[in-house]
Amino acid sequence: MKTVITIILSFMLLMVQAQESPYEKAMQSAYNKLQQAQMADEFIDAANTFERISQNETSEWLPLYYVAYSNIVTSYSMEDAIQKEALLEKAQKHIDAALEKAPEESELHALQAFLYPSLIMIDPMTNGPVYVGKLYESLDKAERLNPENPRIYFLRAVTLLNMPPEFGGGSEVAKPVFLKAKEKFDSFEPALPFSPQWGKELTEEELSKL
Amino acid sequence: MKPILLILLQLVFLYAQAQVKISGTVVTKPGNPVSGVNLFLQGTYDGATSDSLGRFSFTTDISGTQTLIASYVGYETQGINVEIENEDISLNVVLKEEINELDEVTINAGAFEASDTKKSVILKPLDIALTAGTNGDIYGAFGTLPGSHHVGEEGRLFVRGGESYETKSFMDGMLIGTPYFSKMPDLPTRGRFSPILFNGAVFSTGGYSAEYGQALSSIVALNTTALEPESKASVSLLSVGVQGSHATRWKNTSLALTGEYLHTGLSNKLFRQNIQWLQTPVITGSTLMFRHKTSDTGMLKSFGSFSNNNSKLLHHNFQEATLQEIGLGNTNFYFNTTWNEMLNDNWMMHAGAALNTDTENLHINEGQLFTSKNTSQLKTTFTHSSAKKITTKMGIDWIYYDYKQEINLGDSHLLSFFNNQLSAFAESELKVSRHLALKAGVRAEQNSLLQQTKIVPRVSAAVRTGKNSQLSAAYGDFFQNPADDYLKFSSRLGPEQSTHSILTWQYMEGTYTFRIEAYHKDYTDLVKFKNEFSMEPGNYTNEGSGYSKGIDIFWRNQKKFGKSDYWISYSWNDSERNYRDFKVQATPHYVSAHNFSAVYKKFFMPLNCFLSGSYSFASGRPYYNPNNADFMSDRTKNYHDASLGITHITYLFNTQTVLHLVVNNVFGFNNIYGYSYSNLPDESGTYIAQPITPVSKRMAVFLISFQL
Repeated sequence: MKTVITIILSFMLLMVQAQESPYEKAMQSAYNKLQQAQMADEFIDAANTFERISQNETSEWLPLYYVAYSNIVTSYSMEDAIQKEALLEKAQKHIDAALEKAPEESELHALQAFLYPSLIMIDPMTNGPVYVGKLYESLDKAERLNPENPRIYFLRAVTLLNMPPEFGGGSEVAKPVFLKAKEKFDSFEPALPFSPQWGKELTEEELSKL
Repeated sequence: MKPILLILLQLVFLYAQAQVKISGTVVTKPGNPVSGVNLFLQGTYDGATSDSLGRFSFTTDISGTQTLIASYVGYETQGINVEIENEDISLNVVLKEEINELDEVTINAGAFEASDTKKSVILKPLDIALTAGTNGDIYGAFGTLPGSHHVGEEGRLFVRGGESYETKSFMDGMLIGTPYFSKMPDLPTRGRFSPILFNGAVFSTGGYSAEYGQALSSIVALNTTALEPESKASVSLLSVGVQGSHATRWKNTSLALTGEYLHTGLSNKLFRQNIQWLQTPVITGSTLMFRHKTSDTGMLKSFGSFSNNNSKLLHHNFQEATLQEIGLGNTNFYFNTTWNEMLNDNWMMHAGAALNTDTENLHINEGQLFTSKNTSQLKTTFTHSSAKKITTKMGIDWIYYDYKQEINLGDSHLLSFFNNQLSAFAESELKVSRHLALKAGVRAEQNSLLQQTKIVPRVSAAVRTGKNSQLSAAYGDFFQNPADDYLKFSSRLGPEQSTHSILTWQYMEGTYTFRIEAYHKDYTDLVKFKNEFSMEPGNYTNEGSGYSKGIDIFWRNQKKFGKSDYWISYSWNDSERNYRDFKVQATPHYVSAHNFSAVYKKFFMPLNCFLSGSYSFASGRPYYNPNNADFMSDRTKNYHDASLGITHITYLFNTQTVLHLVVNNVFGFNNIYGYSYSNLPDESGTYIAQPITPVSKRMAVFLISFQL
């Protein structure tokens, strides 16, 4: 009798566990892959996993967000301009698709701003004048939609850090913005499970160098 | 209790049994494994990424007929039906490469392309504006590319043994009738339009598309920018005048205006000139650019420009041994409107209208030559693309040209003619694979003036010869009406003709581009005459002919992130003609056998300075020496020029400021472009020579520009 009860109980437990929706389960496993990714092929695997989810969950913007994010991160480590462009093209397609679902999502505009510097680096002389303006536009829009989004301040700080002092950049100007980003990161409450969380460690890393 | 246990066990067993493993490998057509491919069952989360050997494996719970999707950037997405029952499935997936712009072959024989948006181009428009020695002139910049001859006293493009009028210019597909400012004798001119108006350009040194006609040697096709990115204004002060611009941007519309007033008075004082100006050259000009996005895929562009320039000088006419007062007044108006729209998923339409009027008033002492040229054009093209494999472009083009010249030099003449030209073309490009592209076109043209209809073929192809290299070839027949200077005297002439054969090999890897091109051109039906400026019947004929052959080499290493960037061009040309009043076949005066140019640019980050240097070399050019019985056998000495440009970006008065300085011929080489000989010999029977030299040895232009 006891055995039977144990079996039934454990079976029920299994059922309860299965209540966690397939979407959440899949997201959790994809998210874990992304967290552990170090090399380009691991990021691509994570992107593929998110892409599979996005094909089924047509109302969710987060899977699309992570497809784009993984591609952008990979693009920063690519040397080859053609590969870089292909990755960014794919990322842009997914940002566009996500924005159709959630046009007022601050995180998506911040992600757009994260894409531009990689595009600029391919050919600074030509792409710089075209995309620097768009970068600020995206950040401003992201800030309007949610001023508590810490990634906005992190991206602003990085942009300032990489800008020559003659143009109003440099580490001294960037430092207070990094501090503000840190503050925002500390008080950040993710709105959804799997809400973007990245940027905090990088902010702390930069602050320790300044 | 036992039955319950059994059922539970069965359930577990069933559950386990339903898990089917799907595995396999992904390869390309030739059998190379592909990593990073996303493989999954459509409508499920079940899937995997292929590893470095192309292997993949995943399990699934579902059964029945399912579709396995394989997708990867650069490859066509595959859908494979799989029947999932109880057994594991193992299968091979073969991916087909998607033909896209990234690394497919492009037919580029003869063509140099500059573009902001395309990926496989050699030059960016900014390269043109910032190249030292070109004075911000589009034609000057193309002069640093292989295939062009350096002809200092002209300032126009001379391409591969062809006269300057054999190169035609187009803006957004519409003809620019008078692309250069009017020209004083022996003084160089320059292009009318600033390079910053354009975001793309093609300089084709031969074998170009059937879309373009009436050009024997070369075309320059310029594409104007789309919507202005933002509202802005700028004011520039130059050592030779002032320029201003203002742009306004609305959601789907933009309007940009520019104006300039150039006066070389100050500059002429600073750099001593071997010319006596009676009236300092003054140019006033303005442009207007209107852009309107008519739909997601439609764009309406209007461009208008007006310019007026005046100057007067004392010309030493050595041939006639007199001093002449030469005055030049030129008024030019150019307007075009084009509209692009996707009619549906496959058809794109391009419609355009252009208008150009140019009046030139040339005074020689008391005499006067008044010339007016009017061009009107209507053009429509349709482009059909089907599944990325075949692209067909066809169109019709109507050009009305009207030429009038009133001559009052002692006696008066009125020379005039007009021409109605109707042309049609069709051209198809077939992308057989990522490795092979073929293109064939035909152009038909009817001219009312010459009463001729001509149909000519154009063919080209490109084949990939390796991961980074490709071979491209082009062949075509080209023809062009004789120059105005002949047509005004006689319309009983036929078009001049040329045949181009071109073979190009290009290697592009990372930041490097290497290109070598061999060509051969045959010229027939060139205009010959017994006497220049004679209306006598039979004076002008089409009996001339010639050839031109050569090799062009181009090397560029463009490092990213503002590091050094340089390009080197070398051209060898061998060409001879028997045309005009030549007694025998000879190399014309504008042809230099060897042309070399090197351009170097570097951005110095800590100083915010952009440095550009260029060096040009041209071997000696032939000139006619009446003392030498051997026609056109004398050569001038070699030509050298080293130029330097510095651009500094800073903040002044709280606005972004650009300081720019260019110095031409830094080392002061004494260059000689040719010689004029007196018409009559002196007492000893020899004809006296006078060298034709640059106006000033060195020249510098300074600019300061404020972004408001």
